[in-house]
Amino acid sequence: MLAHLDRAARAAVPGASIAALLLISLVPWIGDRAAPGLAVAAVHYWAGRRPDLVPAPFVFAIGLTHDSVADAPFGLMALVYLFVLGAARSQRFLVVGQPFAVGWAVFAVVALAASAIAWAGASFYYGAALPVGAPAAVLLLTALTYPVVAGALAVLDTTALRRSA
Amino acid sequence: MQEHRAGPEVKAETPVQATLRRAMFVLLVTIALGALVIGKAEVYVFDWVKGAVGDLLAPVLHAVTVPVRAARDVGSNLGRVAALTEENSLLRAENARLRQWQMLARRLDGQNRELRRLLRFDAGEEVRTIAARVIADTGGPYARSLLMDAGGRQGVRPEQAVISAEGLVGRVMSAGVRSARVLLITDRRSHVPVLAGPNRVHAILVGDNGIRPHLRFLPRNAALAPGDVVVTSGRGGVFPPGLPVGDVGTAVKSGGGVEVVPHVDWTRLEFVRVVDRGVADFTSLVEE
Repeated sequence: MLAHLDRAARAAVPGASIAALLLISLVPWIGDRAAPGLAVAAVHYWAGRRPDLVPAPFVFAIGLTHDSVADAPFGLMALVYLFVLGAARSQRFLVVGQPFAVGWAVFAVVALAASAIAWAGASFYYGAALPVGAPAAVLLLTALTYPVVAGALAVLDTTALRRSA
Repeated sequence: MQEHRAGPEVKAETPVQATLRRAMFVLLVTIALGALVIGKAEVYVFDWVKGAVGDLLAPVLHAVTVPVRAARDVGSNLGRVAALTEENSLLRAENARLRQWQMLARRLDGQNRELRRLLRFDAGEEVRTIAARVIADTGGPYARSLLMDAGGRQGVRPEQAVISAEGLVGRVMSAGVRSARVLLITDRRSHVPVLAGPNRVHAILVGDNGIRPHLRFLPRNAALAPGDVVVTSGRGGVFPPGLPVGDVGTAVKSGGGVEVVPHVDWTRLEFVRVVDRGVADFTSLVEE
């Protein structure tokens, strides 16, 4: 019984860390400025390393939560997170077992594509081509903070998940 | 640099499980795309969902906001210690200037009251504001709004004006039970009727998701100079008249809109006040 609970708690670590990073990225840090997409980085990290613990319905729910709190067009961030999930799963061989720099570069490319999807979706929603400056700033911050996020998640991965393996 | 080590083996899927997983993925992508398309038609159920999620997460966001703000303030205060002496002398000079303005304001206030008494001017209802803490903001590229920890339970309703100590912040877009969303004046969906400059020229303040909104529908002969004050006109009935909004900036946007520098410091916005409708003297709500 206890062993079962222990396994369940460890399996919840990826989802809990994604949700926690989403909340942290949504609180007012520096006001009306760009904030890095911490949850995007977390989805990419876990989808590459433990895809079995990051189911699509959960990622979809995280995206809708992001849309709701951030007042983004409904469905937009859900679409973006699903894209990151799909990309990370399909490109897993490029991340797992590779030097960190390779994984970082792969994430940067995925984040760029995700930003393009978000920009296109938002422009469609508002019926006008939106300025690209703000999305570019978010993309840059997201790519630059990835090592910190990936480093923290790697610690969680090692301490909470590897022991259960 | 560390290497992305191979993790534990992921459980192998049966062909049926893999097919189901892919079908689920495609279904969710289709739903997300559908929501995006349907959402263009301003489906109110999505607004309701957003409000419900905001209400649900309000206590959590509130709990996360307090330590995050504390950490941010410690960092920024440490950086400002070195500049304290210079800042102190600047503040003294500013204080002396403000005292003169205060004397003038008191004299004009006295005159104003006397004239109102002579004209038997009805000042309207008592001023009522509802204080709230900002618990989430969307400095994101696609919307400029914030979530505050006061909602219907505290008397917050859609279309109420929201101010800070510095000036107009925006208006309540939707109100849940214990949280509400505020559409900032910088959001591209925001349109605020305003008066600009000493000649009190009518215009519409329009956001573009940037930091500075701009004035549209200005008369051709409008002579505005950088630094001219912009206040709400009260037209349309959503925003009460006389709320300070910002100053005319120097830049002219493409399409002819004149840039406005908001009085509100978005980087320090922690508490806001919601103005109830039917309030008469709104200028007294804002510390000039």
